[in-house]
Amino acid sequence: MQKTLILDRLAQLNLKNRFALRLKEEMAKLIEVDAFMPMRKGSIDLTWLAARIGATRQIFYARRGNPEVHILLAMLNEFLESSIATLPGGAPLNIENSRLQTELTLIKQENSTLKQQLRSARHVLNMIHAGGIVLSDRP
Amino acid sequence: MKKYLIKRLIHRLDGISQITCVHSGNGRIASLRFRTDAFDFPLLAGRMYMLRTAARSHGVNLIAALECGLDISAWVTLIEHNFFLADIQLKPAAKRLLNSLDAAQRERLLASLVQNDLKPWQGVLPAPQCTLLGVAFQESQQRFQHVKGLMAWGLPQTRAEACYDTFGSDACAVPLARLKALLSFGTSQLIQSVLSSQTSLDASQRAALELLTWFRDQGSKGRTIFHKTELPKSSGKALELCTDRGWTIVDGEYCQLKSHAMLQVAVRRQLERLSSSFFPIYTPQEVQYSYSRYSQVIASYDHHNYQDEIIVAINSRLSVISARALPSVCEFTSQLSGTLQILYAPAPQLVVYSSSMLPIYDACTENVAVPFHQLPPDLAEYGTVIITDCHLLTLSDFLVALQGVPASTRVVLFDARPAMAEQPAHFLDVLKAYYPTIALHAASHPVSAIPAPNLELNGEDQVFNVHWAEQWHQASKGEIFVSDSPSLIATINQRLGRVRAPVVLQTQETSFRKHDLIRVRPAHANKWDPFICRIHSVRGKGLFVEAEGRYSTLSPEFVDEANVSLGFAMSPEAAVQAGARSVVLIAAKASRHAWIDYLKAYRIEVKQVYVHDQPMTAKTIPIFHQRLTPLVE
Repeated sequence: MQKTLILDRLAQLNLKNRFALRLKEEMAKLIEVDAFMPMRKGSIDLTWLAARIGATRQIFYARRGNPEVHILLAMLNEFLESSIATLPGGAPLNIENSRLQTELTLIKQENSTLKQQLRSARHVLNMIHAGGIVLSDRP
Repeated sequence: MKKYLIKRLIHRLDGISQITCVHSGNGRIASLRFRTDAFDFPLLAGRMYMLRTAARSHGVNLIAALECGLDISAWVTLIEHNFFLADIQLKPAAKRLLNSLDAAQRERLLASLVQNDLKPWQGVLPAPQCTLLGVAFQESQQRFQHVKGLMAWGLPQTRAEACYDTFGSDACAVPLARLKALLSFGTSQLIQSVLSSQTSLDASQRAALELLTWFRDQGSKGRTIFHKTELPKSSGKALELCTDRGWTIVDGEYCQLKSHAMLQVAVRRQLERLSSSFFPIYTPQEVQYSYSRYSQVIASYDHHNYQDEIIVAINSRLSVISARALPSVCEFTSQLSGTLQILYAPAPQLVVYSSSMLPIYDACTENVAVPFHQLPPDLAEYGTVIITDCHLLTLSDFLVALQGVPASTRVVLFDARPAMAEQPAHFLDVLKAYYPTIALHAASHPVSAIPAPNLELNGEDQVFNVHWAEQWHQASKGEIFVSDSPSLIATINQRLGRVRAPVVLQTQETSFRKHDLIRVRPAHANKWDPFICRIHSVRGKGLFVEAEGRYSTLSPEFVDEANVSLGFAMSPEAAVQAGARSVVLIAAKASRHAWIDYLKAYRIEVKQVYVHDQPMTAKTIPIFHQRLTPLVE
């Protein structure tokens, strides 16, 4: 679904529920600026969205919240799904996020290095006991 | 040739590998086999290859392979197996989403994964998992490239993988990488072929390779330390290179392989540790008093008086006791145990070589004996550890045993070599020169004398020839031959080893065939009881063997850390170590009675005795190593 299309449809909606009204405003704002929206299991993170409109995520569940909210949520998910399918350049650059990613990469690499060092130490021990050749480099 | 994605790969112990792969076009699954060393690039799970197959008697064989990059034709399989990355687990919802994508999107995601630019993935997976996926995928690519590089140097795939896993990313990067890979993971055959070709390695490295393998071969014969003049000619430069890298150690005029030095120093450190802490000493009167009380309690009419020996053993941290016969070992142990307990010391812990020897020493102490590698971690302070049959221990075994002994312990080592017909050199000789040594005079009770062996009636002076061995082997398959002549052992093993049966176990140096008897010993730091078994077959899970009527499977990891040799014939010590039940003895005429007694003492039934007239080679090859005993005490 195109950005303009969903914005148009949002504008045409005639809502009464106060959460629905707030959600509509918030969605318009988010979609307008292409903001990053966290995902859980292929749909929008409900806790995050609820916090942004000052509600609990209970309002998003069937038979608990207002049907108007449900319509909006379905629209948002439809929009997000289509935007994933077209695979834009991913989420906009987020400094905090990329810092964490770098950290994670480094830790992962350190983890594999340590595992390898452990195997190497075990190999040296085995060579000592087997009368083989120890080839550890001078520290 | 058709394009396949490899789903699973198993390297069997007989040198055959099996792969399960998916045809990229029709999704059909094929199982193919090939010789592990057939290709000079790695076949790894999760990669795509162009394969040519041919039907053979054992199933469909893989006869040619070409590597090619991943493409989206196997997308579903890749997603299902998390891209064959061990530490990545995609959520079911993410898998569903990935499978619902159309071809262009799949293409884009796969390309971005290969290029390590994971932006397109961020809408599909949570950000952290995205990062992990990228790292894991790049690691697997790197592993493939390095293993490929190592295989180009002649290593088979299994060894190349082990080499990469051990040395990591500098496995083929550093200047001496090829030398390191060959020395650590190359077979002796490969090393020979590298040495004989002039071009593949530069001269200094070739000399180093030659020198280090020479050191290793000498080490297996017991020589581990050399005067510089004893080295092979023109190895001065090579020794310099090896010493610079820390592979050999040079001190003054002597040189030694680093691994040998580390083992010997480790033993010395352990002995120093034992001698560094406080150790209680009893006056002779105290020991005499408790010994006489013990004698009165036991009141055995034929018990032997070991009072002086017990005073020495109790008052030394480490003593070596050479015993002529096992009954006297038992007698001494129980007297020592009783005396110590009357002195309010904890009962000694008896340590034997293997669990198969436990029944022999059952009657010696009330404590349960344990094999040397299973010393309990909760040994009492100021206790006593008695290690029997130390002459069976290698230096590495001895180190493992010492590591389990607390610092305040009194250690008593038994050397049963006097009971043997000939006494091979052993590191115990060095300990004997340093620590108090006790020679137990044999407890020669007329009652316990072993009745004269009745074998002599039917086997007197039968001269052995190999046909006897074949006849015995045909009559009862599991018979083990024991001989004091190394050349006879080699002859029998060669004659009885199968020739036409299929190869079931391929180790680095040799191969073993179906129904061969093998002797399996621990080769590495992890110790277990050696045993003799018959190999039946090989499967993906490992080697199917039978030992004394019990069937079991030896896993590839287990075989990897074992020393396997043919077990039709072996030396008497090896038979005792491996816990053989019954043997056929072939010994020199002069020493056959001594060997019969030796084997019987370990409860090995001698079914038949033959004599041989092989010239005995130089019996005691001296062993050379560093000082093992403490420098400062």
